[in-house]
Amino acid sequence: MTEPCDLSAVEARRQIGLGRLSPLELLESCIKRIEAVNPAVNAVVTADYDGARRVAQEQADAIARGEALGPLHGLPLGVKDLQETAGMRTTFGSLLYEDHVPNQDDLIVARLRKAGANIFCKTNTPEFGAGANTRNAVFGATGNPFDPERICGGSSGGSGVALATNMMPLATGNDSGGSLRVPAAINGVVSHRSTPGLVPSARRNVGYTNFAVEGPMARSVEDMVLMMSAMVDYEDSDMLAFPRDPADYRAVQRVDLNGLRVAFSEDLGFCPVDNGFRSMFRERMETIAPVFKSAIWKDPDLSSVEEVNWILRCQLFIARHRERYENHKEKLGPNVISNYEAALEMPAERISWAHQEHTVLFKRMQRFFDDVDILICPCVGVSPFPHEQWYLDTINGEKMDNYIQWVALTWALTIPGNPISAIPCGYEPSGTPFGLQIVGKHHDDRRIIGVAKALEELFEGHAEMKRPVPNLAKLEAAA
Amino acid sequence: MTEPCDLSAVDARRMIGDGSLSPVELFDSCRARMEAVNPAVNAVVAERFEDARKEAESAADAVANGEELPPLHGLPIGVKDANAVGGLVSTYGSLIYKDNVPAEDEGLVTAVRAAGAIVAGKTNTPEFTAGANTTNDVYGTTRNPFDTDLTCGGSSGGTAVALATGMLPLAMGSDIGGSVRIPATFCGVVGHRPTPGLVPYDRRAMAMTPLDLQGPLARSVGDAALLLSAMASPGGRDPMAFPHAAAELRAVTPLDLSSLRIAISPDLGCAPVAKSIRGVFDTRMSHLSNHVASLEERDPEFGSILDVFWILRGMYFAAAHKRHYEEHYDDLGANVRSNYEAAMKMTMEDVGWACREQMRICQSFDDLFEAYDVLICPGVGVPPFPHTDGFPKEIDGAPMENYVQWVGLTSSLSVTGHPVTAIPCGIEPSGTPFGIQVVGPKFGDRFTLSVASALEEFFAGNAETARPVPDIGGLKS
Repeated sequence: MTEPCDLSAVEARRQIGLGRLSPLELLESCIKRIEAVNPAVNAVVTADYDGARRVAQEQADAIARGEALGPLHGLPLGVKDLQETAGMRTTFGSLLYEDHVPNQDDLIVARLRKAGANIFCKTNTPEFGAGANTRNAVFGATGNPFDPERICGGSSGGSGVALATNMMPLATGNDSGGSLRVPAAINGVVSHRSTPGLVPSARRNVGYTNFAVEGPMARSVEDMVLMMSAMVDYEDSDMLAFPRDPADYRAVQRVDLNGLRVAFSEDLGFCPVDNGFRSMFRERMETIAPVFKSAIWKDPDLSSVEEVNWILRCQLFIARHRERYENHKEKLGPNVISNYEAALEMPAERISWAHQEHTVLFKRMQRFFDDVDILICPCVGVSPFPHEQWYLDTINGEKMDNYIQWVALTWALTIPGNPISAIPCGYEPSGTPFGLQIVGKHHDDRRIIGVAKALEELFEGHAEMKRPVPNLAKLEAAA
Repeated sequence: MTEPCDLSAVDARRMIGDGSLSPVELFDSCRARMEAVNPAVNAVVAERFEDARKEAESAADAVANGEELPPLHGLPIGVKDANAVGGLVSTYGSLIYKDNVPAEDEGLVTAVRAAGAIVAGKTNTPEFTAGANTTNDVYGTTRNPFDTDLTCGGSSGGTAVALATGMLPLAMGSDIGGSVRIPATFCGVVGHRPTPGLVPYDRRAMAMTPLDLQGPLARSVGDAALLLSAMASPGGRDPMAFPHAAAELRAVTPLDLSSLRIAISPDLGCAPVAKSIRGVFDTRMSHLSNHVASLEERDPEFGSILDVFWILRGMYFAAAHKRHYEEHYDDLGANVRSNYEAAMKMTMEDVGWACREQMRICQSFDDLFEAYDVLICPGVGVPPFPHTDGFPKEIDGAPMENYVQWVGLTSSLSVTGHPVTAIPCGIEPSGTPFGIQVVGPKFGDRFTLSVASALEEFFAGNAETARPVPDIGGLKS
């Protein structure tokens, strides 16, 4: 039987507006689901149910008074534990902030709250978002809802799992090297990494960077767009933000697939991708290829992106963690320490080379879209591994250089900064979800999302590409 | 008698549109002025007069045929020698490129040509735009038209001098640490440094930085806005570019001064500024105080912003000039060499610190615009100095650590990336132009230009603050 927590965000919001579903009823349903399933997966790490009940009551009263309702009115929403929530503990996954209770919301949190979202819990993240295995010394690991011993991806892993198990209709994420996209793929949900500046961030430590983009996560493209409309707007404290009309994102139209020129790439030309994933991806793309105006197999030329990403990422780590490294090294985890120390050894010449090459990569990537409208590639190229392992160190028998190499498919696209929607596309060979990245021109976010919506509908008609749903009864039994 | 070359760009364009001025007549007038005055100041260093005249003839035909005319139709324009023009020697002020003739226009030149401008020639720049004294080993020094022994500023020095002397109605500049605003100030013309990304630039060496921006120079704010609207045409392969309506920039009207809340700062709380400049600034701002809603002294909290600039500039230089340094060391001048070498000594810790400070300072500066509509400060912290000096080694006894420290008034504002319009405001005691910077909120380019336009109108009403004009007759002889 469908419980209120199983409704889509759009449907729940519609029923709230019609008075058929009360914000309280929806909230209680979400809490009940969390209590039943969370012990098995550890996605929600902090919650304020009583506070949320009071908010839901006020929201119900506002409906009764016939007030104008925000676009997210009455929808329970989980916030990634990297984003500050006023009055609700925010640890950043770090022992340094174990008891940190902010007195202010992050910009994005404030916007979602203002749009009517009921912010009722925090979702797990690795320490400071470093890495794609959602595990930290404060709360432990978040498990994959399809197999709790394995990783759920990250760094927005808690959000991905909470959505997959219908603990809540919407949740936030953010993405430096793939943190919105990797957990969307691994949990079978949807996310969008926007052109940097479209969804502003007021907390980034480096002003001019494509890293650290805030974004929505949801179970469907339509739900994600609803959430995005409350996140898009100009904000002067983000150096990358630009004037935008948020109303542009209220409703995103499906794009007709028959007019699109599409390029498929199984590894972006250089990423480590499991051989089984390659053949599965090829097979599925060949199945849908006839739908498009044209479909070719073509890799963008990202040959220098690996080094550029590593250097720019190191620069971000220095800007972000210097004080912590120098004064609290004993409380930092291995990913943050290794990344920081790699950064310390980098000479000026390499840094400036990376900035110059970044420009070259950007231009080359934009030219790629002169000949095609959309690039489709896998989001993650390997099966989830046991979360006891910090990261995957071997793919197809080849040793990985560092803790982020196994997610090259996502950080490779962070560097040029093109907008990307991540959507599910059936199961991968080991029985967990498989996801795609839909990539397009800089600033072409609406179109990319429109394509994602059309593909989502197309996949619904193919048994092997439908969105996977975890076995909740099994998770409840395990808990 | 006013010659066509002395007309404002807006007037000239209007007259071209109504048939009362032919593009050929305008071009011939500009050419005659260049031939008469340029030997004394050395502002225009490469020309394409024959081709340009043919283009002026075609432009005249288009008018005669009743064709739809683009916004800069028939206006001669100067392109800074830091930009590539197809078929015209483009040296970037460097011996390495002294014979470089690009096959194609760069994106920005394509944009102004598409808007109808006629490229007349290239204007001088220091080697790779390094420094604010326009001199290089390819073409020599560009002189200040008010006193040819003094520097005209830079790096868009040739552009500013060409405008001040009526050689051209419009010319292009670029600005890392003040290269649009400093020569505008020293030559008594207008320059606008846009919000990063407003003017797409496809030849920048670094993808994401507010440092290297392209901007218009002109003799009036209205003219600068007209050129900006053409330069800002969206497109181009620039990761900083964003969608916007460029045509809205075209018509800038003076705002009502009496409703403005203005913050003034003689030194932005961080920059070296000579006593003489502080004195002039105080006097000129006091004229203004009775005509605006409020005028209060308020320094932004810029802290160590000049160190941030030096590090970000170092990274930019290293990205732009590694190959030049490694393969053409003997052809490089002192500024480029010293800047590159300083950059090579920087560490990732320095860079990380600078990035973080930049973000912090920028956010606090944004807050200032909640209490004030604009911030006004002087354009340059010293009067023009002898061009043989290279750069000021001290200001009122305080030594300068490097060749850009003296431009702290402009370089600090580059770090935050807020739009700035530099406008003239009379002359300073030594007889050369004095100018101010009008700083507005991010993306408030049109607003900032509109405030500058109102100030320009106000200053024009008083001999002490009106835009100074050099003695063209004296330069001819």
